[in-house]
Amino acid sequence: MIKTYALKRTFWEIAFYTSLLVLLASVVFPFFWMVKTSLETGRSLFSYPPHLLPQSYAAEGYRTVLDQTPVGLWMWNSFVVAFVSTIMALAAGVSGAYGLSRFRYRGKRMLALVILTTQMMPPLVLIIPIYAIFIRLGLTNSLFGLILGNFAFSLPVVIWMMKSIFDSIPFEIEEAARVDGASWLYILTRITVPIGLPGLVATGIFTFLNGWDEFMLARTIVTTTDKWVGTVGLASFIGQYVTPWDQILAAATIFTLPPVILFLTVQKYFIAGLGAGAVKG
Amino acid sequence: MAHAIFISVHADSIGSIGRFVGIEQYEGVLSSSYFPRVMRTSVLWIVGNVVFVWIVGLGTALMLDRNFPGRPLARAMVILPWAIPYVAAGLIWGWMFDYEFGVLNYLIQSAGISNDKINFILACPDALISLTGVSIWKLFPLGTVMFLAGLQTIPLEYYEAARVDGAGPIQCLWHITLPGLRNVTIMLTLLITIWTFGRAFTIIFLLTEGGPAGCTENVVIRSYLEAFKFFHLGTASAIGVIVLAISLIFSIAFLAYAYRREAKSD
Repeated sequence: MIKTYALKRTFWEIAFYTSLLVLLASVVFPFFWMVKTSLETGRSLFSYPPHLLPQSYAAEGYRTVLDQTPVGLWMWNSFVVAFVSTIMALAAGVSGAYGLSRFRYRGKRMLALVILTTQMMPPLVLIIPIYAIFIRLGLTNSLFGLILGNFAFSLPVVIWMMKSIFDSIPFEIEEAARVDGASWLYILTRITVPIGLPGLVATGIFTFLNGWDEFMLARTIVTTTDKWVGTVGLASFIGQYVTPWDQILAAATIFTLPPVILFLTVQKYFIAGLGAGAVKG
Repeated sequence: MAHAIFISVHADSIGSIGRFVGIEQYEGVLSSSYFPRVMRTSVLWIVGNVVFVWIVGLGTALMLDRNFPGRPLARAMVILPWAIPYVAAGLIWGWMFDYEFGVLNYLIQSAGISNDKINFILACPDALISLTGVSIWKLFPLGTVMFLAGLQTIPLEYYEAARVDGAGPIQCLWHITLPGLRNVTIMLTLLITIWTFGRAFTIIFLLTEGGPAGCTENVVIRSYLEAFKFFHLGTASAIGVIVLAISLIFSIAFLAYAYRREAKSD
């Protein structure tokens, strides 16, 4: 009896660690392969069967891609678009979320739900009208147009995330300040936002990552290479006559590093916030 | 949004809005030969994503919920696919899928699963399966995170009581864990449905652009191609509005569910 129990236990342990290893391998392998390929050059790159470890660490792909394509500029454009649209969305979204969370007025719940619905709308539906409007306003092929577009995409997300953060801050603290004669603006900027700062940072990072990742709009409205963002620049490598995989994946590695680092640093906040949202609904 | 509906009731023309044609565009789309096909692809795409994000997400969450050495590291690793930009993910997988030099074919052959090479993204229906796989790889961490949070809400006493009564791990899973995760499951299913319906774009556009022979073309890709490749803005908007209408149905279901739960917890 005890023996079969022990056997069963060992069996479960082995099954557990095997599936864990398979899982981690399939998650990490593509990343490993990206970095590995980006280090390869010429002949060892196009060999079959492929070498599982890099044959050289010359990193020629990185040098070529940095010399011959404006990857640095594309990354900078991505940064500008994602950063500026995030700041705008946070500024507008925090006050909107505060109003939704704190004040009472007719139709508040309805308004909150309408904002949530716009978040769920497929971006495709917005892109055609945005394109038509931007043509008329002369905003195509400009980073400012992209910033506006990303701002529009992320505003509802910011409002919704910040609303649930404000909801979790007890109202009593603000009431005390109110009794002492503080104005709403003072309360918002000096009390509520500092308390909700971790949530604000997480929201900002989430918005930034979305802007960094955005492809459809950027692919549509920006035409000249000097205005391309990282996503469009990377995608442009595909469809060339010979696909220079070492260079592409070198560029992809450079482009992937910032979000992965950001993500790993704020992982804790992020998962806690999202998990709480999921359970609470 | 109003502008999209406005464009959709006008004839296709380049650079400006054509004459008013009423619902003709919609009739054109609904009766076209491609519409049933792209809808079918969209539905397959959604079902594949929902089912496998659920299975893999739950499996991972159950594993990571246990205590074992190196758990924080494993958690951080599992989240990684979520952090990578879609374009970069598309490129990596595109290279691994490569017919001539791709590593996946090599792995499959050396593991003895198949002797012939698989044409991952240049054959039908293999392409649709491969791309769905990439999408699942990218999305499943969301399921893991949501399920991990859900598992925290199930009281440990339930498991202890069940074990005293002689229940095995599988019975515990079936009678305690799964019912306890019901809410998370519904939320996750609705979220993934909404996202994979309206946002299934980057991976497909990058790797196959809807090909081979329209095999991976879903409604979003079709609408995009109509608009920015063939410049049929009216047709594209009509498809867009149909997509919007269907997403609204799912969104309302999602909201009704969230709303009911909020009312209950108040």
